[in-house]
Amino acid sequence: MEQENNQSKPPVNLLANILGNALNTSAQHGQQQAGLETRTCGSCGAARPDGTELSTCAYCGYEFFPQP
Amino acid sequence: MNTTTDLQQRWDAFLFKIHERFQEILSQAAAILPELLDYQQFDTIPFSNAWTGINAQSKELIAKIDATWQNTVSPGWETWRNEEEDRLNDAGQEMEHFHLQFYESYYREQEKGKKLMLQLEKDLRNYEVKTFAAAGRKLAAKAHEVLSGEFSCSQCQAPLPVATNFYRSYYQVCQYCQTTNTFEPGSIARMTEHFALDPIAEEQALDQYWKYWELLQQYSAQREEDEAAITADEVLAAYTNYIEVYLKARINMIPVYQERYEADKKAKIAWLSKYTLCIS
Repeated sequence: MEQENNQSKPPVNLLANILGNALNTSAQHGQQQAGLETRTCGSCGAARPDGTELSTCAYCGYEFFPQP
Repeated sequence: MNTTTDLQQRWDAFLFKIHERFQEILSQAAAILPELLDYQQFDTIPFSNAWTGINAQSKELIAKIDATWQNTVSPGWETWRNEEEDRLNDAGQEMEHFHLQFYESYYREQEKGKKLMLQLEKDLRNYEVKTFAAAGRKLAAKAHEVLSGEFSCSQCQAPLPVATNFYRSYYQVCQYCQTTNTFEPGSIARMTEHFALDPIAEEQALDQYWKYWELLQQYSAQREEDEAAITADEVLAAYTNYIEVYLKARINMIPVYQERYEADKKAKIAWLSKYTLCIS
């Protein structure tokens, strides 16, 4: 009888709390999708062409990071 | 009154139980952890958090071996030794032979525990590396799928293919309109470098790692007054072998790591020499 009881006993889930905690306490971050984007000039709206510098617009000369 | 047979049997049963419970934890983790990434849409944080818990529980179990030896088993042996000493003393018998036998058994039993601790630590490390590598491959396959998709210039919409084995943001110039686009690889690809790279490389270098580890254990166990059977140079050579395989496996996955191969190798060897082997 005792043997039967032992056989029918469900296995102990040793990790139930660990997995529950991991799922409940992990912050849910939104996933960022892969993609291409272009920064455009705030003054004339032009995109940055290849080989140009980052500080001024190659088309209108607008300074992206003006000196204080 | 305990006899040595009682003490040995109880210690053996305890060690067997610990081993059994340890295997149970890892087999339950093996059934659940790989599914966790899919279930969480490739978010690696719950996976890592779950592993932290499993790892802590496993280490706690390993630590129980030493704690039980110190707090229960060893005092049991000492009590038995004292009782036997009293008995021999009362009978006026010499104790040298008894002490020889006693300490032989005592250290043999202690060694059983130490051996199991080392074995379980090895099993845990193997399990960790292999589980993380399997999850990492899953993540890398998903990242490859994402990066193999169709991307186009944000200005003129011309097709703009991106690298499938580079997981950071970079500039990509459109060949049609010459606009400099910024490519964002997305969360899954970014996580590939942080989460998958190290365990996949570790898995490939695991054989070399254990050769180094075995030598280091033997080297550390040597007594200063004895002639060294294992030299620091031998440990260093085994470590260098391991680190070369590890670093090359990283390059296979992300070729840009070639640029820092020599610097990484030098830094790792310097760290081992200075802080582990204390030879420089």
